[in-house]
Amino acid sequence: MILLWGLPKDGPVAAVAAELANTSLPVVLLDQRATLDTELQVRFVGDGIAGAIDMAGTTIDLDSVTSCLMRPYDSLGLAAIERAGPASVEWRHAQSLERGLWLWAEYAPGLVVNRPSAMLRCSSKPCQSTMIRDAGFEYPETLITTDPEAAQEFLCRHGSVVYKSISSIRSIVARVTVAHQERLSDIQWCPTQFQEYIQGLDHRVHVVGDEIFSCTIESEAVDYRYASREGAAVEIRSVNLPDDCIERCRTLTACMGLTVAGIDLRRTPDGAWYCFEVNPSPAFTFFECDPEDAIATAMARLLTGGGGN
Amino acid sequence: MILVLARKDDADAAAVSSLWKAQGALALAPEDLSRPGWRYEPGRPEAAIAVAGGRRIPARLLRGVVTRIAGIHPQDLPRLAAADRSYAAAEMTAFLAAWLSELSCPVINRPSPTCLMGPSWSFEDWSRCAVRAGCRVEPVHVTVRRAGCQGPGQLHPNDPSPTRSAMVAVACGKTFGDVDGSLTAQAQRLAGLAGVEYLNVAFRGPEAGSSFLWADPRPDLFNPQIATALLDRFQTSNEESLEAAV
Repeated sequence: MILLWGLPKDGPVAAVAAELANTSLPVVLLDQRATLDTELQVRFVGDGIAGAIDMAGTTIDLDSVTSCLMRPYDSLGLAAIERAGPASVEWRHAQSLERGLWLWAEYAPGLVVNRPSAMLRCSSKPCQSTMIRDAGFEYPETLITTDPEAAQEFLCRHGSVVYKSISSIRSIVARVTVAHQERLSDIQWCPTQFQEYIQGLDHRVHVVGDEIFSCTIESEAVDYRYASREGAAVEIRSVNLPDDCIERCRTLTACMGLTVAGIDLRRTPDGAWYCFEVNPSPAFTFFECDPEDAIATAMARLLTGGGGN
Repeated sequence: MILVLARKDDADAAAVSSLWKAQGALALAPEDLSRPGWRYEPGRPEAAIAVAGGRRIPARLLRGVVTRIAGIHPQDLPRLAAADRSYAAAEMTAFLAAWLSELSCPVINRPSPTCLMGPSWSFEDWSRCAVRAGCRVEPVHVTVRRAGCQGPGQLHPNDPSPTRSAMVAVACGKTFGDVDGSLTAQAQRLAGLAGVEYLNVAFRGPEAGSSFLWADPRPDLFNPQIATALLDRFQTSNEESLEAAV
């Protein structure tokens, strides 16, 4: 059985579910919207793990799951749970269910995309930077500081600088402007990450098991994910990467213990490859640009193949 | 210098910081992350500057760090605007995880990206690892029911249900606790498998064959023998560094 955990309208979940529609294996969507109607039992006995899910009366035998895609959103953000509030039974139920499912996913014997322990390795960008360098990629000069003077020195040294979150909390990457410099003293309240701005062409690489998909992203926006907010357009085109770059992507993904990854690269005009970060739960549908060579199809192939990781 | 990373109300951490004053120990509290002066460039840990006790401390002067918190919580940051606390707490935790990971001095324990005290493990994770370490582990059941749910992890350090328990602390290669040698060996193996220099391990009793109850990587600074073992570790490391430099 293939288990998909997430929201049915989430792009990647919907795309993979559609691709799996014709497989002979049973496919079950563990719908996050049914969180409050879902029960879970997991049993650890010695080295083994067993369990079952009851989703609104439908039983899912976890022992029969050969592969799964874990792509949930924060359950606490679901309308019914948010409305009920942190002191509610609903809130505690959602927390416990989420925790229990991730726990199962860590030790489930089949293929799990991705194991939570591997995903957690991506939680700190500066921690990622060590692995990125070890894989052979360039990494922008970075300063994390609460010291306005140090930040000013860094800005003077590099001229063009961006700031971004340190943790895995999603943030919009933005260039430091004169307006920001006027309130640089605010950084004393919390360590802030500054990075030299790297000129070049954005590439997104998706590693799906043994398969590699790469595209270029052209946009005037500093953070192309939010290009529309800046009124900028985004053009995504399929591209072939040099073999050594592909190898580095594979190495990096493997070092992080991931089976599927979205890797953000930028190629500079002089041919250097910078890697900014690795996403362990990539929203790959945003980057689909070749219907003949779809990432969702590869995801379905991976999940159908099963195996273990 | 030695940093003791702990909350301000952690009496054991405060006591040991005071006890190690002659060795240059300073308490580092979550609030210190909201002070000007921190500098860290990933890949250049020796150039970093920390801020503790109102002082700016070059990382190259550090001889060791003891960590007593798993992460920074929003409630640790009352000076920040309420709306900013969750974000700031996550940023500070991710920052400390990276900085502490890169320090060349002993850090007990080395953090993981999401837990400053070592691996970000639940009771169930520790139980699984305890099985691999040869411990006797009672079956663990995780049950989440619809109404009035009983969450996972019913046994943990604060659970009063075990009527008695026996503790072993593994600290920098030494062990502390009056239990059978076989349990001590299991605790050492568990610490090794978890990749931590420090680990408290509780068993249902002191005799051979007692079941594993829980493990906790937070260093016990109340026990003077353990505190001495940690200090020895920092001093030995410092002497080795000096010898290497010569």
